[in-house]
Amino acid sequence: MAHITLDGVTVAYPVVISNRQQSAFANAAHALSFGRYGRGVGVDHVVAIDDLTLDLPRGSRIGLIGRNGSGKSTLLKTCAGIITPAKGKIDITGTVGCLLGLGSGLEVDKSGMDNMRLIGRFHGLRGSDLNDAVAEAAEFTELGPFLHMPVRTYSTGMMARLAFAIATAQHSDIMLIDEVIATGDAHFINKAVDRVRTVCANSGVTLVASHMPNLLADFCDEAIWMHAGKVQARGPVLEVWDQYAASVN
Amino acid sequence: MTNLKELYRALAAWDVWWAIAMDDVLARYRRTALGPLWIVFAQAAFVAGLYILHKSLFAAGGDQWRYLLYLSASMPVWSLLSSLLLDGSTALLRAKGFIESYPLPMPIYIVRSIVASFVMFLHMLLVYLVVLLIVRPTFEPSMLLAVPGLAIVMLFGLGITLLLAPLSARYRDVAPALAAGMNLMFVLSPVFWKPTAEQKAQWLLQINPFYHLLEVVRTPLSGGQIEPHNWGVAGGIAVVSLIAGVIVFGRTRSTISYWI
Repeated sequence: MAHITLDGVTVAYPVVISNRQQSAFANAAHALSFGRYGRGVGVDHVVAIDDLTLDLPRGSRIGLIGRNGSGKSTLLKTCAGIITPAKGKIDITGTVGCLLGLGSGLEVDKSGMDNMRLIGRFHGLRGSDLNDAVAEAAEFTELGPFLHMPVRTYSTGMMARLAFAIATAQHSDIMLIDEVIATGDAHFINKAVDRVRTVCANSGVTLVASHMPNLLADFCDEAIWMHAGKVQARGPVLEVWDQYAASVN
Repeated sequence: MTNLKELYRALAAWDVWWAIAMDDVLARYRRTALGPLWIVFAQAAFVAGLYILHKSLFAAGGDQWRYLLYLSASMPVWSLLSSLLLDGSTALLRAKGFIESYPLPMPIYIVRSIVASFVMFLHMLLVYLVVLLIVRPTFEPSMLLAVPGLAIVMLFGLGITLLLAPLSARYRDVAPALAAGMNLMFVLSPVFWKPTAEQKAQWLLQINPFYHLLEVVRTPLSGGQIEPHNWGVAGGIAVVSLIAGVIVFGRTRSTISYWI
């Protein structure tokens, strides 16, 4: 059963500026001299998600909107279980499928096909399931002969197609997609929207971050507007979008 | 407890760590015609060089073939130990792209690292096998003791990687410091020199963990007898590193994604 609950979740990233902060020797000198030597080893934190409580029950299809640095991507990573919150509790029930960035662990020296096989394995696919999923995703990408060339020869849009196709090739209870689709061309965006809609229909909880209101209105029931690590508003997609757009302009 | 469960889940996902470990081995020699055979050639060149040096230094010695066998058994084991520590310490840093993209059990990247080291060790063993065919020592059942010896070394590898990988993600000078330290240990440990009874009595050799870990694999391979205390100390090192590794990894697990 798919379900995500966040209870008072805070995520803060350490900000490393100087070399000393990540030096074992500087830190040891600082500790052993009771702070007399090795100044500047202290690390400041940037709060990306601030005391967030959120309930995403089965059937939620939520669009995440907000400005750059508002905490959308961090929220997605936290819901995926990639980031462990510094404070608070998160409960993730169900299998997680995610597409959280263009790179998404693509290995540039390997062919598109080999990359898809590896990512399919990451999603728990094995044997004939893996072969079927990769074949289906290969078809979806429309990359043809490029699939057998190294990923470093790909354009940004081609990488997006590849990563998107394999991430959505199998059913996951929870589907998390960061702003990736928009890097494709119009033809791909249309195909991707269709595919996400099918995936959304099948999966229990879907979270999509995007700057395209039409796209979100298309397959999300609800939108969450993130601002400075907090939920600014939650409600019908276009309604929340209008509030957000008004605040930006 | 949740960390031990995650370790178990990581070990169970054998097809994932096997796939990325194989990539590691192949990636080093991608776009070369001979691929991982270069590991074998590099090893053969080293053994041959040391053998020639030894022969010219101790021309009168009658045990040249024995030394060659000793050397070709020692070098792969040293390379394995060195790779377990050095590659192990960067195991999480190297997996940055995966860690930031997929919620896989984190110890997968630890296991992947030691498996890649082990596969490289198997490549290097080819040189030993060739020397074995040349020297043709009488086979002794005690040679099979290298297998449990290897198990001890790999357990040590798992423990030390669980310990070092998160530490060197947090503190970036751990890995270069280790690389410098291993150069020193290569000379101080009996890899290309045979310890005499006198040297064995010295504390400098006895407190060297690499001495004991080398002995339990290398000595059976080269047809010698392991001293019982080598077993005990090597096993002890493996257990201690495993316990320390599980504790450190467990305590740092939740912050790893922030620091890599």
